[in-house]
Amino acid sequence: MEWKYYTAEGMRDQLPQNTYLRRQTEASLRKLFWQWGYDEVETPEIEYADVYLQDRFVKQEVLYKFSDPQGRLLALRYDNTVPLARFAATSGRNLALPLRLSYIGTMFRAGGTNNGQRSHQFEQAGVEFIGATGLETDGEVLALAITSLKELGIEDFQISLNQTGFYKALIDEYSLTPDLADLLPEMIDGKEFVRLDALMADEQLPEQLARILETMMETSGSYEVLEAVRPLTRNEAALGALAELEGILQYLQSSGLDQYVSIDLGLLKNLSYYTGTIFRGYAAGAGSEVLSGGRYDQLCRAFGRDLPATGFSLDLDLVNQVLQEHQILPQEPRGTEYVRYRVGERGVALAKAAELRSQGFRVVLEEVKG
Amino acid sequence: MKQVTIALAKGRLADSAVNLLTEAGYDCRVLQDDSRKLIFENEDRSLRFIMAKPADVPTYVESGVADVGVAGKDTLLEEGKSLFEVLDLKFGACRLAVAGPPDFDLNDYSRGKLKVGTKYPQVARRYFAAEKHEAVEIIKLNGSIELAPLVGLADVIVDIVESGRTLVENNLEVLETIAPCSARLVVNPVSMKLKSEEISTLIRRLRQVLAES
Repeated sequence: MEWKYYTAEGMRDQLPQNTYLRRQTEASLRKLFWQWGYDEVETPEIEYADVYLQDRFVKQEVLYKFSDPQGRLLALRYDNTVPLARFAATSGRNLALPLRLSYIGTMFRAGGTNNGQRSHQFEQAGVEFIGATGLETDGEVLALAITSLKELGIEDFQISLNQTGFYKALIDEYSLTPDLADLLPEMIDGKEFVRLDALMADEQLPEQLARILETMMETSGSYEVLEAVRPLTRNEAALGALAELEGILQYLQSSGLDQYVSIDLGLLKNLSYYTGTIFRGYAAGAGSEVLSGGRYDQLCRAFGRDLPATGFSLDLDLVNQVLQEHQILPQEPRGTEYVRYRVGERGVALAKAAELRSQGFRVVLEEVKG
Repeated sequence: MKQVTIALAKGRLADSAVNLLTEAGYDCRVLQDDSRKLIFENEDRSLRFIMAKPADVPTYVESGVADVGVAGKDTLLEEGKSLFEVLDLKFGACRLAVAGPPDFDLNDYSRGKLKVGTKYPQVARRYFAAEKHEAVEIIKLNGSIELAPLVGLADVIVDIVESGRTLVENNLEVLETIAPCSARLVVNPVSMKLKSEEISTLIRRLRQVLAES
């Protein structure tokens, strides 16, 4: 079998109109991140696999791996949050805190069924706010995430917001078997009422806990969600998490962005290194989330420097799919001019083309034959 | 009012799903004609139906081209998609099981590597790995799974079992049950957010019908 005609498994070519849209999307976001005071940085597309595999931030089967000439395991960049935590703890250690960093780059994710839906190589843009904690930090990052989608012209979207501390505090109150503790976040996030009912029928879950979990899975909305769950617990850490969510809602209200956000206490999947506030964005026209982010206060410590941090990333492949679906496409600044000439008149034609280009036109030369 | 697209598995599951939706007050008359069309819209345009192969329903819902779907739990376990599994619709009840000759001892490892014939390679691989720390040899089959142990293609099979009659008639029996299965209502996570009112209403009405029956 000759493979020369094909793009490698999970990879795809981009046609001119797609590539143009991608560059325009990048340009809009690059400008926006800059205006918000975030400095763009670049980390390598190749890292030692240890960067991702320590503390199991990422499962090994989803990394694109190979080895260097010394036999050390390398990985293609899987996300930019982990490398930027390494950056903040090492190369960037002399930069003044807090760090406001942004990136736009290509990520690689292997494995999984993708049914032609997702490319294994895709583009992400995002920011990390490192070395600061508290409401003003979380609020700013979430406000920038929302503004990014608006800036690109997307209006039909919703952000789900949660504070993982609420669930953790609740669970700590009950002595659950490790198996059950492992299974619950997945069940809650997947809104698997069927499984919840089964666990309740088997009396594996304390009734009070089951009632709270059910409310977490069922309710989504604004302040009313907080009101609905507050009476169900007296745990101080859990109440603290709810207060934090309320603070973020108020932050967004004062920037006029609160209508895009709903509280979803069931948002618990793929937490990996996230420790506090987490959020995901959903837009009409994309089957999975276009945006995700949150607080990760332990990640930098894994690289030897204890810094709190928060951030988000946009999946630009999905964002561009949404833009195409809704026909929110950038206009070429000016149309294309065609200069037709015979070989004998080449000098005049080339001078004319140069003149038009200097005026900002896009010029295509066409030879007239015969 | 946003339109909700629902993916149905052609065949018995679809018929039961349509009955249930009708009882819940949704106009499904458009599906009554014996048509070969694959896409239907009901009269008030509240629902659009797409008719897919059972194993493909999770794929349509995961990608978001369908907002919700009705699929068997067996298919969901095999396909392993990230979907919200919100309701047990109760119909299509069966169980996923390991079956083989009556005297076959699954825990006797002196036999060497176990050969498993199945339509559900992921389910089978995961079950033996999780329950027995055993890497089995999967033989992917597309139908008449019971044939495989009879002719020596496989030692045992992993398949759905309803009454168990086919097994009995072929001198096989259930050796271990993997999971009880029935039809489930699954929802795309993005649709759940962006069509939250319509989909919550659908879930609430279906739940009510199920509670009454």
